[in-house]
Amino acid sequence: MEQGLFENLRLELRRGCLSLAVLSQLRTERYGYTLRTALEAAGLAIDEGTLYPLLRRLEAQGLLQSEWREENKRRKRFYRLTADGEAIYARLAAELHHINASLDRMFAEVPS
Amino acid sequence: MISLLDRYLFAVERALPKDVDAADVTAEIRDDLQSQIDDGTPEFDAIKAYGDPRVVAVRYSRVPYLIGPQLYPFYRETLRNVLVAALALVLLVGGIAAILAHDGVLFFDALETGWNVAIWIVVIVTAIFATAERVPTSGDRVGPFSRAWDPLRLPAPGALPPVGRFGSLVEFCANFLALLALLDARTQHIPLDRLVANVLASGHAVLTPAWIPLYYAAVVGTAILAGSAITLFLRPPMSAFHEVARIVSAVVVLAGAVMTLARGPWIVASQSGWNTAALVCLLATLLVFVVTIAQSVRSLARPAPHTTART
Repeated sequence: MEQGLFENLRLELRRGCLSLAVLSQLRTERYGYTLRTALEAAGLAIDEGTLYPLLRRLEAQGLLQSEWREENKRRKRFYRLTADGEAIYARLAAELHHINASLDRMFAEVPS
Repeated sequence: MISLLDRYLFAVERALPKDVDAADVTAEIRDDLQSQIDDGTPEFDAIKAYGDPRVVAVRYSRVPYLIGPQLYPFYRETLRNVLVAALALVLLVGGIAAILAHDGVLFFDALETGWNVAIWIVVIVTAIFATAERVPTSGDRVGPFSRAWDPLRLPAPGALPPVGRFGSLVEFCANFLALLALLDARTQHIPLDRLVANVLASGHAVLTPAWIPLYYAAVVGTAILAGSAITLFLRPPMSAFHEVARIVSAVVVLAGAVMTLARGPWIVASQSGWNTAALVCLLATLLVFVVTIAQSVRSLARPAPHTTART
């Protein structure tokens, strides 16, 4: 019960951060597999079944653009941020910094 | 020979939502899986880790809910209100037609019409809300049909659930109609034996005088409810009065049902089994009214919850 509850809350906490993490990594152009390995190397592993639908949603929202190109004799789909994506990313990153700073203060407080 | 990867991609493609570019999605999944295989992951392991094709495919749905959690409470409320209003109207029209034509079968025809109307209402209201789920809204409105909510309309803590004027009018109409039908039944215009014969396509059944206590109890109980509903319509805040009227009405019907139960047999029929069916109906009636009385007493006796003072 406790483990299940923890897992649900952890996933909820993570879900919001994943979009931001993806946006951060797509300031430079990448294709799906390299994006996934980059996120994993940074400590935020994401499974394929979550990543690709997320990329499509972000693209449909106008935050990403993609194009199919050939690399190493295989067609790959490359993603990168649009201008809108850059702007939204900057605002979200600032918001997260603000939230983190608030949380850090709260965590440091000794409850009375 | 078709590879495991091809079979997997085919399974994903088949399960993808119709509005998704399947070729595009599967090409991307193919590239990802192929990249893993190129990096040394065995094909089977890569595919196994990617997940069940149906689960993979459903993640590409643009709207995961038919009616999402934000709209669901409004959907439920709208569906209930429309169903109650439409069914009350259909039964009212059917009942009046039956009484005017002295043919009880017309009322039961209205029941069948009501069933069809209810199905259509569920389909149409669900379709409207499913469409609304996909329409963006702004401000403090939830869904395109709901009004902006008003904090001043919040009920007082501990108050009985408010019965709106519309609800009390519908309740009055339903009870008034039931009262007319009951009074008309006394003059044998509701041909129960013909209805029973229609249902079973054979046989003949007649009620015995054992039902007279329940009949009079039902007339009195229905009259009390009709009177209470029209009072509530004229003076809406009297919810507690209405609850007491419900209890009194249910006690009267319960007493009538007990007296009828004690005076069996209840039906003279050409086929056996009718009295057992009547006994089951009477026992079910007793149970329903006992539960109704218990619920009404509990809602009247419910203490007002403590309210937290603002600091």
